[in-house]
Amino acid sequence: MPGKVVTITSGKGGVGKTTTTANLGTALVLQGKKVAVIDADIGLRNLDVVLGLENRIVYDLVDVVEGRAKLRQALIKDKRHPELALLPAAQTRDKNAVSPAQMADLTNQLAQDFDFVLVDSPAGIEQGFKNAIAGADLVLIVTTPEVSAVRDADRIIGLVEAAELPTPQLILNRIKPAMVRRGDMLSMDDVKDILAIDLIGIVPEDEQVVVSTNRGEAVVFDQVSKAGKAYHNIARRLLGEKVPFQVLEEPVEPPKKGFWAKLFGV
Amino acid sequence: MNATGKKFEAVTIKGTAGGLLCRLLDDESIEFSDVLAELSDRLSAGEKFFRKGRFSVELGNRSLEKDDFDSLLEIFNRFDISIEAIISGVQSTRSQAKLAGIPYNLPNNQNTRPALVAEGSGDKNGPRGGVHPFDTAEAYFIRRTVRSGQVIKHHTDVVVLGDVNAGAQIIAGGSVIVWGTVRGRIDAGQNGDGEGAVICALSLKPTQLGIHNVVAMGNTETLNDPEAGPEMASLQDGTIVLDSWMPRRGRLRG
Repeated sequence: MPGKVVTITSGKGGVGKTTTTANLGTALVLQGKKVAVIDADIGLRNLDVVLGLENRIVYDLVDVVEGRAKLRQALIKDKRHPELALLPAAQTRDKNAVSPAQMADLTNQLAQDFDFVLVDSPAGIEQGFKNAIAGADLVLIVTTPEVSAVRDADRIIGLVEAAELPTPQLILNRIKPAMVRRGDMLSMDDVKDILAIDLIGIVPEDEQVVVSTNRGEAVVFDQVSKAGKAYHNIARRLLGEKVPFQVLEEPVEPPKKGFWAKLFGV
Repeated sequence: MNATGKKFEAVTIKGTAGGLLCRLLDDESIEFSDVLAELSDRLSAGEKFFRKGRFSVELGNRSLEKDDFDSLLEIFNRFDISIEAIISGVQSTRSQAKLAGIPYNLPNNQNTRPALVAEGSGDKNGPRGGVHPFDTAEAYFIRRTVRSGQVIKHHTDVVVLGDVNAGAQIIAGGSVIVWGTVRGRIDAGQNGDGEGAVICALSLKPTQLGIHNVVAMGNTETLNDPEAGPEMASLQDGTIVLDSWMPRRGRLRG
């Protein structure tokens, strides 16, 4: 049975598509799956950087499509976890170097050898996005709890539906529970209410993500990181497990003084 | 709607929120007798549907003398059709209507944007070809969330079972009913005589609302008011007014 092609997209840039792809890919590998990740952001590649594989690129996606390299030659195996392979983007070309049909063909080929093919989509709704969703069995939309990101996510969901793909699922990224509690940030329910699609994960804001990303390691290896835990949970949900959502409470704020405490000035 | 095809369409008949509207092309290069002939043909073709109907008749800027005007009335009489109003941009035509005792009016679109007619939905481009009277009166039912960047255009009423999100737009000839939350833009009553059109929603938090030729901005203060409940927007004295769209509870208690 061929593997599943999952595209990670968002509309707006900078909401965490690449980080999500890298961590979800790694988390799936840790679950014992064979995973290929594709960087579809031609011209602005960085999945290779996040995965720490930048210095091993010889051939890229465009080389494969244009027949200069075989798919196997271009795939980079991660030495730390050999079940993870990266197909990097070309840096010297642009989105129009590849067509949706070619992308669908490519993901289809990879799905023969891997359990999961994760496609890291570029931001935007143009050719690059169309390429990224061309071969998808499932689309995951990443958004942050900001009005502009949610608006763009809504637009993307409409386009995915118009492309007659299954209804996408949502990853709510970089949520700050304390801000939500204060009413200064859209909550999970607010976002779900607007977008009206199923949630597959909530990832809390976590400084450890920046640290890991800069080192070229996935945050899923960090045992204490809440974001890492969240990506593990998404991976398990992708595999069909029912995993409850993490309770995102952080007792950083001092507890409010109660009525009696106030009265007695305690 | 104009005569770009090989066979010109001098007569347009369509359903609007306020009833049937018959628009006669005011292109002076087409003889009025030809227009009348086409009108007669069209009414005969849909006689079952049109007989004893009520029409508003739009004559554009065509100036009609008494003879022509009487011929027009004669055709409608033949089908037992009553004329609700004559809409004309020309004084002489309006005085003919006045003499005949028929209400008359200026075209709505003279001081506003042109009346919007749904492109690609029903009408003469439909799969059955030719204008079918039953196509035009149908409401459009949408059973999904209308999302940012999506525009729904329809020439009569629109019903949405879902939300209309920010960045989405619905343009309807008639009324718009949303069984969900409106966060985007809705324009109702865009068919020329849409003063009576309404916009209803379980939760009405639009960026903009338009009815007929009036546009109102969403009130940012009430946008997050969870108490607002279902509301209905309508046009009253040239202003868009919001009313609660709840069943009147008093009746039950009485």
